[in-house]
Amino acid sequence: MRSIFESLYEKYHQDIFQFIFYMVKNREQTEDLVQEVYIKVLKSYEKFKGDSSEKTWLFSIARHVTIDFFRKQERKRKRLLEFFDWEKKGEQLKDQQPLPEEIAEKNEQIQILYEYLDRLTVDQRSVIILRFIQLMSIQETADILGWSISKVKTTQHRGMKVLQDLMADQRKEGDSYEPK
Amino acid sequence: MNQNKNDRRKELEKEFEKFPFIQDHQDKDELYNKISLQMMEEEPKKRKRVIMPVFALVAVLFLTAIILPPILIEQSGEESMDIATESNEDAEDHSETLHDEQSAEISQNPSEMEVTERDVDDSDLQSYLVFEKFKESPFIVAVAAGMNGEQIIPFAITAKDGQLDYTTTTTLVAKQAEDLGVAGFPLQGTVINMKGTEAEIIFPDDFQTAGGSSSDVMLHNSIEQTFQNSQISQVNLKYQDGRPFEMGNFGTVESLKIPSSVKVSYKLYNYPATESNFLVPIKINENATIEEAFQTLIDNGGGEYIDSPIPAGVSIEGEEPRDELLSVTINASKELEADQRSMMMIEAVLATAASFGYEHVQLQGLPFRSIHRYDLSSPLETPEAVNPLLMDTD
Repeated sequence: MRSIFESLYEKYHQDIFQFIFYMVKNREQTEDLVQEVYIKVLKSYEKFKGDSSEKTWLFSIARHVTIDFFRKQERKRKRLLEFFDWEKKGEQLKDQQPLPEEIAEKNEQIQILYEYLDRLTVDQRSVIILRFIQLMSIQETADILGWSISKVKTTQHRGMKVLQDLMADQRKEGDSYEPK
Repeated sequence: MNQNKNDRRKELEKEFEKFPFIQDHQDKDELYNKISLQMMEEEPKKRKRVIMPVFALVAVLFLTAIILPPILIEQSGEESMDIATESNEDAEDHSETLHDEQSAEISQNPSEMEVTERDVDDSDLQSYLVFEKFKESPFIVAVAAGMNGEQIIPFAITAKDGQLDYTTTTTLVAKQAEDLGVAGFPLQGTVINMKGTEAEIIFPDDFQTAGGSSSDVMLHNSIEQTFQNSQISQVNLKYQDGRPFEMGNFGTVESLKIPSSVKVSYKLYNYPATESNFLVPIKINENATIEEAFQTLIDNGGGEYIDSPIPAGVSIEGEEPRDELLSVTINASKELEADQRSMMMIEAVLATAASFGYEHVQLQGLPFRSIHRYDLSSPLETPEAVNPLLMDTD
């Protein structure tokens, strides 16, 4: 098991970490989810048939782990448990996330785009991150998501349109941007 | 104009390329150790039945209790808990149940009582789920150890007066363990404090598990189950006098991480000496699909006193038409009635889907359009918790 872990770690670890990080935007959570990815991968490595490349298989598992996490988070956020006083905390959680150091060091445009990723659907965000941050091809993205190429293109187009509109609105308002 | 749009799109793409590379600073060896530890913990535990002394004591008490005529119990006037899952025959006026309250609430809303001519009188049906939709009262989760010494049964406890305190609640509910058909509440008498995503459990100074690795595992799993559907990601453990907690064979355990997601199939816990059934989460492989989870529901097995909630001859297929909605088709070899058995099947499916993160389930293939509080023509909400109990703290 160790040798499989070593091999996957050397080849893909930092890319998988980055992908999950840009999806969930929280370093600690990313660390936990990356662990989950390895557990799933190591448990099922023997069953990996090589129908897809090792890389797309790993990213596909990473995406499923992330989506499971979002689903869980959404359910937790919606829980109204006055007894535990969680009612409002779930709503506040997202807003309280500070900009990560790496983003805070970048220019305002990057910081705005980083914030705007939250305005995309999970599917749109997955495509935009895979295509333009992880620099995957349309075919690789389609393989990871298990979609057709045309669905990737459509989702990418819609996601980019949302971002373009948001950026245009932001430019029109001309307000100085204050990152959180 | 189009050229302009394309240029802007290209610019946007270039901006993304300038996004910083986010590096993981964890040590590789440390990461590997964490992963192997977690994998070891997740390995299926040996099906070894270990009855702890406390369980034996509860079993003796339980046998004594069933020998006594029910009337003596009622006349004692000392009952402090009402149990939502008491059989209808045993339900007395003073034991107003959560289920009864829910039924009453629903009966005031005719739209939710819409039935077809094929429906039966479902006023006697009992629900084992707690929903946000029905604006049910705040509850706390208290977990019980099954009589089989393996399963953990979560209860969502609501107080009649709305006042809930974990220590008092677990102490009071533990007195009802034998009526419920459970061995005990492993976290009975502890104090729980929560702040943000962390919780603290303070154990009484003289707290002891019954001994043996199975009771340590039971305690560990009870803590995990207590916080499973909450925001809590880490639980810190200590004794009242501040000493770090000793968890038997696990040694000193100062904190436990709560997994962000655990996939389970909800089956039926049925201790034969009581008439109560409860939904019990049976952990399944984290890689399992919803189809596999449904198959686990159908299959026999899962441990002693564990039954399938699915009537014989029924198959279940799941499909995800869009995020957070699961479409479930139920195929039965003979026609299903809108009875308690079907109700239990539907609720087990809903609870199982919830553990996969689904918000709603659209049920198809059932020969009735509504049952109890469920209108099957629309997607059904998945529950917040299972096994509601109403506690009277007077």
